[in-house]
Order: sequence, then structure tokens, then C-alpha cells
Amino acid sequence: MTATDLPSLDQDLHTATAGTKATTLARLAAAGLPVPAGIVIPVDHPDERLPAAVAEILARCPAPHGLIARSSAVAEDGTTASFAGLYTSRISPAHRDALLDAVRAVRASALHPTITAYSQARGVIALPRMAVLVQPALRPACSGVLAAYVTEGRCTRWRIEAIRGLAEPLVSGIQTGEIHTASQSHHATVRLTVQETIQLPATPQELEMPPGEWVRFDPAGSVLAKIRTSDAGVIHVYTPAELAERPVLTPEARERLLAAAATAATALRLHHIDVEWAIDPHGTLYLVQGRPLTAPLTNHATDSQAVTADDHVLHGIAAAPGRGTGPTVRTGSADLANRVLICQALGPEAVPALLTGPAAVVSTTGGELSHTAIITRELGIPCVTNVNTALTALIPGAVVEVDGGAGTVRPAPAVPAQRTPQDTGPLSATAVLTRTLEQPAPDDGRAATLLWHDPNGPAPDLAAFGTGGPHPVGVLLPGNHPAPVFVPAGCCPIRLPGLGTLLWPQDAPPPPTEIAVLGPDRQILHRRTVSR
Amino acid sequence: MERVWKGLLTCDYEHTRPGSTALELDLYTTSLTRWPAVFMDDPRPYGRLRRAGIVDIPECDHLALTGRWHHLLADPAYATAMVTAAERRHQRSDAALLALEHQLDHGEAAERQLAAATEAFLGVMSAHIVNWLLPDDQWQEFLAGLLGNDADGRACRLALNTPDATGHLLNAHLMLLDGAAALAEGSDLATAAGTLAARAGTLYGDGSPAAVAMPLEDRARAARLLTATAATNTTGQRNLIDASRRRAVQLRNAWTLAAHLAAAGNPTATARTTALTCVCRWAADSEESRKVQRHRLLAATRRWCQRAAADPATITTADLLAPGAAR
Repeated sequence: MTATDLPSLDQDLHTATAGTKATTLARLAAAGLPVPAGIVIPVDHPDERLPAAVAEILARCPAPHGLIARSSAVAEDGTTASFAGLYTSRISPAHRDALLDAVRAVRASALHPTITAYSQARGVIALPRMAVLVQPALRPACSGVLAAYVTEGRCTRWRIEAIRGLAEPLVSGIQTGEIHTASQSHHATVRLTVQETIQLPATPQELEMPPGEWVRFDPAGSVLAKIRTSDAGVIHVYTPAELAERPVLTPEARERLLAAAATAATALRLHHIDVEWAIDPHGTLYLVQGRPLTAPLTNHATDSQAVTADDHVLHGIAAAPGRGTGPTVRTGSADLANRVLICQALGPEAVPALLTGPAAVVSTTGGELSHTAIITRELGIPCVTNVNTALTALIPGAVVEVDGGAGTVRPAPAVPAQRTPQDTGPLSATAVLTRTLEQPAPDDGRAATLLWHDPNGPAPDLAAFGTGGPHPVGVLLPGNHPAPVFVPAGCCPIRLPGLGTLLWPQDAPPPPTEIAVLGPDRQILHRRTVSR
Repeated sequence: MERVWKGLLTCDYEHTRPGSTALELDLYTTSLTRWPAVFMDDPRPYGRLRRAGIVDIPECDHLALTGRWHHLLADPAYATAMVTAAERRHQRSDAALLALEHQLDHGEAAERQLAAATEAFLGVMSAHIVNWLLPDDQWQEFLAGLLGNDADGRACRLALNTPDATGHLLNAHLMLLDGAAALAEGSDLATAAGTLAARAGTLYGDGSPAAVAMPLEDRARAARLLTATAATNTTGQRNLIDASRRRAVQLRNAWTLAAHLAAAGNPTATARTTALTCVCRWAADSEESRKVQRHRLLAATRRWCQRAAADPATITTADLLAPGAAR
């Protein structure tokens, strides 16, 4: 075989040499469906001739935004095993060495142990080699996946997931897509999503631009996007503000996609089809993969009880400890009693509502030291900050549980009965450590009160010592701090190894073996056992 | 702070603070490059200013400077000295802002005071790094180890981040309650509204007072809010805020004591606990007062621009530091 033998997708391909993905795309192209051009490095192409193959591809493929090297294994995309996401795909700048590395990485993925394990589990044979399909990288406005049941040339039940830019974050599970679903004759249901960043194949010039610079998001340059980073031929841009509120996939584009999917299913003689697709900035639709649907179609998006985009826990920054459960409500409500406020950064105008007793606060922005975090700690309201999807993922009125100590927001079936403060349990064997003596002395059954003597602070009021109250009072001097020169009459120093020295009334019973610090609700924050 | 790109970390305030004026961006980035000098007397700048709003930091510089700072932050003597110096900068900045506001209130030339306030505030502004450059993960790991589990470590760390002084959001509302209570006792509405607008006017509403006035800088709106608030249970609100604040401070103090009890007998852990509690408390206070001072400087600059026929949307720190250049 010579390098010039590399077949392209406009030819009649065979699975044994070109792999399933390339062969299927060639069939779809032959059926008149929109498939991007591509060149195949066959299954048995020798390693030593890869450089020549790469050179030929670069000469034959104009690729302003680089190229994508994709797996096309013989066993891939079968009726019982899709191998979805198991083989490697690599976007590469249109440079010889980079593309050669990408092709080699894709071919090497045939040898990955995961492939062996998956193929054994599915009862199929995966060859330790594969074809590689190389295509000019599309720079999609949006892309995604479609799964459909096709009857009489129509998609009768379907689910589409769409994101802006490349679909990689969607198929890898990093990013939740905008979900469009329908079953039988029901009209489409759409659940929007929040996409913070968009991945795009980039020009060489864009790949040299540092984070923070602006690139054209559309060909006309009417929408600019700021670069977050770039790597491996791809720029990651922040979603432009003017696009953030718009749906990813228009109804018109969805209908074209469904029609193309139905045609593809007919061409491939499938009743259940799984399609990967992309739409370029001019609105042109491309099918980039087609295969049998190997898993039943699910329809999570129509579940009205769904709270988060994928019914999973939302994670943010733990900002104010405590747990609160209640129905969610947005900023602007004057009465937040027992509700969970979903907000952006708070201002002083929010204070009257915060004083009505919200169950919790979830903020889309901020960290531990943000003003929202600080005011919720001051008011003792559980809070999670930096849940950037909160405003879209949390449906108003849905009941959620906020764990301000763990930084999580999760669906809750119902508002639980009010919790009672945690019982400290008996303190009869515990000395409670404090910085100042309370007056009157608390009568909570504690064995003793210990006054903390900060080594760098003023000396404790030793006159307050003694056994006159409901329990003995001593002084704890931490570390190797020397005992005070003046030890009150009737008191003795007791060495506590590994802890410090205790000044303890001689006429009191032996000091307790446990020292604890209580919080404002008299719950034990920390306890330490004393050895003597 | 973003991921490393070709050996550089980029701080992009254009992205995190969209819609900011040049001065707002400039205050962040100029002060960011200066933080090693402000907090460690280290002359090395923290990165290079690409433009107002964007700083590129070589990763090696970032690692060296933050590594040195994190090491110092474990030393109670350094922590105390750093906090003391920072509090002095806050006081100097407050005094400079008062002088500037006085000149503007009396219609007198304020260029010199504006330059002094800007310079003083830049030192305060460098403290905004506490939002993302403190060794939070190290502290979490340390406290979790000290207190026995992650949850207690987190609860302790969050409690330690409670400010000594009432946070600015609650404080602004307390000023409103003060004014409303004064009205109920027969005070003059115009006077009360003027006081509220001057003391808390720049804090109410979305955004910042850099280019346009905040809603409550308008005395008429302040008067309407005061009148409406006077009709509510102001005493009840104040009591609730006082009780909540008291409880939050009690909780912080209790966790501080708990950490010290856990560390007692281990000199290294005790020193680290002392340093950590000192820095956390300061960081929370610093963030609250920095916001107030920042809004005061931005509002004062806007007022000065109006008189000097300068554009508050395009004026920069350099303009303010060199009086007269802005025009």
C-alpha cells in the first residue's frame, strides 16, 4: 500500500479496512446526508508509513481550524457494543508532528486495557489495531448527540443533548447539555443548561493568543468571546454574555436534525439510532457519527420533580455551616422564612428579608470571604456560594437541602420537621473550658469549669478559683507554660502530660479526665481526653 | 486565577468583573502586582500588567512568592505584624478618604487628597488576594487533623472567618435602622436622609459607584427608604442582628478555643493555630472594610471627575496618582 491509497469518505468503504465509523459515515454521505470530508488511514496501515500518510492528509485537507483524528475500529459502533468514549479522538493543529502524534495516540487506544475489558463484557472481539479517520475540524456553533426511535421514516421518540462549540465536554460527561425530548406525539420539552466555557478548534493564530484575549465567536465577528485557555489545538472561551440566555438549539435546527437522523436511520437500516452532530456558525448541519442505539432511550427532562439538570448534587463552596431544607425562592421575595434563597451577590437591601429566617442561602458567586458568606455566617444561616448553575438548575419552589458545611445542594423529598439543637449529652465527667467565667455559673451538670490561660494574654483571675459554685473551677495553662508565681492558697498545680498544667482546688474531687469546648448552643465542639 | 498556559497564570478581572471602569480594573491589577511588597517587603512584582484588568504571572514567580508567604503565615510573629501593618494601612486609607471627602463636600480643590487617597487605598486593595491566595487547603487539612475530622475542620475554619466588626451589609442596614429610629424620635427627615446617603449610600444597589451614582446616594431616595423603614419593627430587626452577631462571634471564639485546646502541648501546632486564627479574623474584617473603602474612593473619584470635566469611565490609577494629568 502506498500513502496515496488513503481512501476518503466519498468512496465506497469496507469495515474490515476502514473501520465502522468511517464506513458508516461514507454510507451516510452516499445517501446524501451532510457529512464532513475525511480521509482514512486503514486498519493495516504500517506504522513506519504513518509520516507519509500524515503528509498526504495535510496536503489534501485544507484545515483552518486544525484536524481531528478519530478512531474507526472494526468492532466500534456495533449493535451490541458501541465502545462510545472508549477509543481516543484527538484534535490537532495542522502541523505534521502534531497530527502524527494525534494519529499514533488514536491507534494506540486500541490497546488500552479498558477496551479489552469492555469487549469481553459485551462478548465482542476488539482487534488490537484500528483505522483512523482524519477530518478537518469543524468549528461548530453547537453540537451534541441525538438518540431516536425511528418509525416509518420519522423520529417518534427522541432525546437531543446540545452544547455550544465542540461536543467533547458533553460526551465526556463534564458538561450537561441542553436537553430536548419528545415521546410519541407529545410536543418537545426543553431543559436549558448553563455552559460556562465553550471549546472550539482554533486557528494557529488563536492558539498563540494568551488567556484573556478576545476571539471572534461567529464569522462576522459580531459576537466576541474571551479566551480562558488553549491546549491541544482547542481554545476554551467563556460563553459570551449575549448568548448565555439564548437556547443552544433552535426549534428549526432541531427539526432539520430530526429529519437528518430519520434519513440516516433509513440509510443504515436502523430503527433505533444514535447520532453525533454539529451545526456550524452558518447554520449548516453535519452528521459526524451514526450508530445503532445500544441503550434504552430515557426521558429525564420531562420529570417535573427534577431539581438539578442531572438530578445530582450541586457543589459549591462551603460558606456558612449548618443544614437547611426548604423550597427555593429567588431574590426579591420579602419573606424568606423557611425557604432557600437562590441569589447572586447580596447587598444591604437584602438584609430585611434575611432577618425573616431563611432555611439557607445559595449564591451563584463568591468564596468563603465573600460578603454573602460573611453575612450568612453572622446571621447563622447555612450558605453555599459559587454554585454558578444555581439560578437555572434550581427550579423555584423545588425543595432542596443545603449543607453549608459540605458545600452541597441536593434535592429533598420534603421539608423535614424542625431539628432540635444537638444534645450535648451528660457533662458529669467533663470539664468545660472557657476564656471567661460566666456569671452566674452555669448549672448544666458539668463536672468543672476550666479557665483557659492564654500564655500570651493577661493572667487569669485566680481569685475566682475554688469550689464555692455548683462545680469546681480550675485554670488550664497549656503547653510548658510555667505555673504562676502566685498559686492561691488551697490550690495545687497538676501536670497534664502532653497538654499543660492544671491549677486545681485541693478540696475538690480529682479533676475530670475530659475537657470540652462548648458552642453557643452548648453543643460540644471539641473534647480532649486528659491523661495523668 | 486560571490554569497555567505556557508557563503563565493569568488573572483576568475583565472576566470576573465585567462592566467595570478602567479605574476599577486598574485598582485590582495594580494592587495585585504589588502584594509581595505590601505583605512581605519583597520587591519582586507579582506578575506583569498586560493591561488594566489583566495580569500575567509566571508560574515560577507565583510558586516562589506564594510559597514564601504561606511559610510566613505559619509564624505567629509574622502574622501579628502583618495584620497590625494592614490595619494601619486601613486607618491611613480611611483618614485619606475622609480628607478627600471633606474637600469634595466643601467644593475645594481635591487633587492632592485624591492622589493621597488613591495611593493609600492601593495598599489596602492588595489585601483582596485573601480571596484566593491564602493557603485554605493547607489550613483545612491542618484543622481537620487537629480536630479529628474534615467536618469539624471546615466548621472551625468558617467560624474563624467571622469579622470582629459587624460586616458591611449588616452595618449598612443598621445605619438605616438608626436613621429610621431617629425619625421616630422626631429627627428631621432631610438630615437623616443626608446622613444615610453619606454613610451608606454607595453600598446599596447593584454594581459600583465608579461611573454612576448608586441609588441611595440620592437623598430623596434615601428619605423614601428611611420613611418606609420607620414603619417597620426597627427594634426587632436590630435585636435580631445584635443577637445573631453575638452568637456568630461566640461561635468563632469557641472554635478558636477548641483549636487551641486541640493544639495544646504541641508547640508547632499551637504556633500555627495562633497564626491561623489571627490571619483568618483579619481577612474577614479586611474584606468587609475594603469593600466600603473601595466604594468610597470610586464615588469620590466620580464626584471629582464631574468637577474636573474628566471621564470617570476611562480615568486610571496613574491619572489619579499624578494630579492634573487626568485633564
